[in-house]
Amino acid sequence: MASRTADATPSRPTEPVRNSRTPLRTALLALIAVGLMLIGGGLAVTVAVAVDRMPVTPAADSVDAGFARDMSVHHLQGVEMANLVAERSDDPEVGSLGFDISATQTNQAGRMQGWLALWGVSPTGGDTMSWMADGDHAGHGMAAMPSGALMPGMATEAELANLRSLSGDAFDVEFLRLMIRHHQGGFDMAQYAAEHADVDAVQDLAKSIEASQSFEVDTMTDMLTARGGTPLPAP
Amino acid sequence: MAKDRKPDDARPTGGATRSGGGNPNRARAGGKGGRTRPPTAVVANAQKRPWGLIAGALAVVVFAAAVIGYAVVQVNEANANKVEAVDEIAGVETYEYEGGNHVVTSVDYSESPPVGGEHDGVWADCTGTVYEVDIRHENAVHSLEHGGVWVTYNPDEVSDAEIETLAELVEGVNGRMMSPYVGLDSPISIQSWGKQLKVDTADDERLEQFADLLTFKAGEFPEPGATCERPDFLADPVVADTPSATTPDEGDAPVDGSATEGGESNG
Repeated sequence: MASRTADATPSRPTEPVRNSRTPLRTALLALIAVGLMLIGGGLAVTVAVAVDRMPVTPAADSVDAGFARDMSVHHLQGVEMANLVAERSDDPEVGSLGFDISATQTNQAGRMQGWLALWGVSPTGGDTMSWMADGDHAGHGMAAMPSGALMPGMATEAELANLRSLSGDAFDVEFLRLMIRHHQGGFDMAQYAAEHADVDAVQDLAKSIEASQSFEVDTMTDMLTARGGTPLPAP
Repeated sequence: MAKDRKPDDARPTGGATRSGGGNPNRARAGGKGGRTRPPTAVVANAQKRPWGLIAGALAVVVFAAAVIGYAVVQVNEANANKVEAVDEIAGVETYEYEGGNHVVTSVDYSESPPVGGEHDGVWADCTGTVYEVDIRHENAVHSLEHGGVWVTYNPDEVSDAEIETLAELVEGVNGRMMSPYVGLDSPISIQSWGKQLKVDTADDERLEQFADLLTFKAGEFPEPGATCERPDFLADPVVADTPSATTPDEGDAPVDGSATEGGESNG
């Protein structure tokens, strides 16, 4: 009873006041509500656009950084072998291929090292191919290996020394054998990065490497066969 | 009561000069209103005009307008970056080619001029190179694979002045090359890997749009990072319908010919 009267008493003077304010007050409140909604929507769009344009900075253990680090090392050994062609081969077709591989892979390795520099990630170190450790490639002989280990398809120091000692037709055959295996070895890394990298440019390059090197393997296998050589076992 | 009477008494005295009893009432009301206006006004306005809410609504509206305006600008800017797309250039034909093997034989291409597929191991120099000969098409396709844009014209249909105009688009710009193309089915054709645009006149603005968009355009050609430099081809361009510069020795030719599909051996 007491509480009822207490409630009723203050409400009586305010009631007419509230009624007199209602239309304007309602309109203003509605305006504020609509305004807040528009602000929310506008902010959402702005943030979405900003995030979309924000450069992604991959971490040292990301697929992007791992691919850039390992593929640039892998590529540069390809360049090392291709650079022997001009001096040691007499075959214009092999000469052309060597120049092409050398120029292209030098450029691509430079791109990858440039990304690493932008991301503040060291171009060396880290367990080789550890960025591929999870996923279906793990059981594919692609498990992480200690830093500095030879990645699939890479030539050993003994194989490189042998290649440097050859010239003419013998060089051409051995160069093609090593380069075919080298390309095949890089294929899984490129494929994995094409699927799992976050940065568009990394994905694009990985896809390009995956596609163009498989064509180049076909071309080199034809060339090797034409020169009477047999391919090394695939890595 | 005594206080009330005093003004009442005073009124009749002053009332002689003024007419009627309504004025004093009005004057009193006015007087009272004047004296009490500040408090009355505050109370009345607080009841009828909620300034706080109005200010709040105004602020919200202004802020909303600012945010929406900013969002629109941002979206427009973001879209402005996407203006660069092949489908914005009218008449461009697109073909799917993933890549192509190297062959020393001649290739029977589906498009003319060709825009992709098998090609010679040697690419035509495309460092802003203007050729005066119909360069070997199998070499030109390799340049397209390296990201080059290739301008071709029918030498029987295009004037020297127009050739000069076309050359301005190419000369000195790495990633471009130009050559006459005998039997071309339109006066001018410009192509990159998998893309082709045929136009009638050299001053067609789409030529420049095509060249600016597609020269070394990431994601549009198979071998990013490959070079357009090819000094040996530049010094001694191989012309159309002649054998490859890397045609192997006769002993190798049959083996190589059987290993590559299609096309007749040049050996």
